[in-house]
Amino acid sequence: MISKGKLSILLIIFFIFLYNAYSDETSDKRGGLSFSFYFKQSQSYDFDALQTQNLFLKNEFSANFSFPYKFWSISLLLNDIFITDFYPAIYYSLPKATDMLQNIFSLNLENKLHFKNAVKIFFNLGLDLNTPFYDYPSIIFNPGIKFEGNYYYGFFWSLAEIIPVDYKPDNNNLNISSLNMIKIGYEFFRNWGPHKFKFSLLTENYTDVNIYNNFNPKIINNEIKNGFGINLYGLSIYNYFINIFYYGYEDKTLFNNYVGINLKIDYSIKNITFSIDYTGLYDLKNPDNKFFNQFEFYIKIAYYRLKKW
Amino acid sequence: MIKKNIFIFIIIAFSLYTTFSQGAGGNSTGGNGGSSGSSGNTNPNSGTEISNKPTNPTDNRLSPNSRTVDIKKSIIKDKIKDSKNANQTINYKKGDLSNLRETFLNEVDNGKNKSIEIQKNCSLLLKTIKTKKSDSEITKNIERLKLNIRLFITENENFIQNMNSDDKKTLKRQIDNINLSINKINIELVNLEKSKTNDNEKLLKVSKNFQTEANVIERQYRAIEWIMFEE
Repeated sequence: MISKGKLSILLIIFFIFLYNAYSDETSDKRGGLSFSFYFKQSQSYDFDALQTQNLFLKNEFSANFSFPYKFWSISLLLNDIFITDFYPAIYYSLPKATDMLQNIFSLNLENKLHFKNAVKIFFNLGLDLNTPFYDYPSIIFNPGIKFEGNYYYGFFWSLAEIIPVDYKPDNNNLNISSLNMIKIGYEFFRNWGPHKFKFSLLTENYTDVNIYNNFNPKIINNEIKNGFGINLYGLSIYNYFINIFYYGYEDKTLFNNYVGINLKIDYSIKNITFSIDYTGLYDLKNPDNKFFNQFEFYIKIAYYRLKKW
Repeated sequence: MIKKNIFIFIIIAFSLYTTFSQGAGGNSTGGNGGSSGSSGNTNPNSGTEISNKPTNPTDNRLSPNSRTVDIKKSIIKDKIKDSKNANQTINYKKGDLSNLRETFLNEVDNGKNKSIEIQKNCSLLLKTIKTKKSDSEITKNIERLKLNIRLFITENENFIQNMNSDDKKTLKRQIDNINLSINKINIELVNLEKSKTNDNEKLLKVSKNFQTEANVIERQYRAIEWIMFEE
């Protein structure tokens, strides 16, 4: 077995090699402070043939302080999402204001290693405080790692893994999951062809596995999306074909197997982005449920500033 | 010692947070989800109704707590999504760049525009030759093309020479490709000098070669712009 000392030396040599091979040392990227902020308001409306399933208004504030130094940067992210859920107002016989409110506050520390022309590596430590005003609060610890590659000839990829540890102190409910993401794509016309038109082919897969849950059965949820994107003068259109399934791997039960489409339209002008997203899903396992529809509209106002040392 | 204090602070903060948030929110367990379809099922992840095992997560959407889980899941899922989609490039602002970088960006813009202009000059020359316009018209277009090419070669040389060693290392492939194309253009320029204005076949060939190489150069400049400012 390799001792800790040897392992440390090997790691140091490995990082020195990576640094020499790929590091970006452009003179104005050696130091500074970048600050970004955004406010996002979104409305979600989900319904099926029978009734409204969800109706949310989300207000999100996010601030990011980043300190880049050579090929490494460290960032502090603060995020707060305040949710107004209109479902109780529609369906409860005696709705209370507290039934409708929820707040999620997040604090994230992100380390980014950027090896120019090769790969970016992100190490994240996140802490979420989730407070539904009508239920017990929970604390979620989100350690994560992400690898990304994006190249001038159009190919891009990313791999990510987050292990959310979700704990409700009031009833001792502990839920640990493993959330994986793979994304691969190719963007045409990045350095050739038309200047203001881009076309992309994309494939994405998200797998969410319950590793531990002391109350409820464990489930695997997988979502695969294949599609294309078009970008023209700031207008982006994406179309995906989706398959989502929920499988109880303890009971060996397939709960749902959805197929459907997702259409998303984004438009950005300066610091403002408008987006509308539609997802239509049909459950092959439960055909009686008919189509399940999800709409989301959001407006996002962003601000970015870089201050050099 | 500092670590210990931070740890204690986090615990106190979390205790206060949970205490007060409970006071504000009560402890409804979702039983008052008074919709017709609310059959008491719970979302597998909510952990609030222990006795009821899920039979269908879709039905569980009808429980308010399952909606809570849905929101939380989607928010956590957002964290692993890419910060930007492939064709949503970061819009760099000139005001955010140092003077050095701004000059660099202007030079890249200039090189890109010049290579596009050369391609347009070539198209015009090809059209003039094919439509059999007068010799003076052809000569005029050739002179304009030669002028633009020479200007581009000088400016490109300055741009690459002034680049710092790290940028040269990062953009090695692009610089090599540009130099290769410029060598080919220089050879074609010599051929052009030798050819006569009425030798249409040769002029057509030379113009097409100029156009091809200018297109290669344009690609390299676009790649430089993407690598340095958009990635």
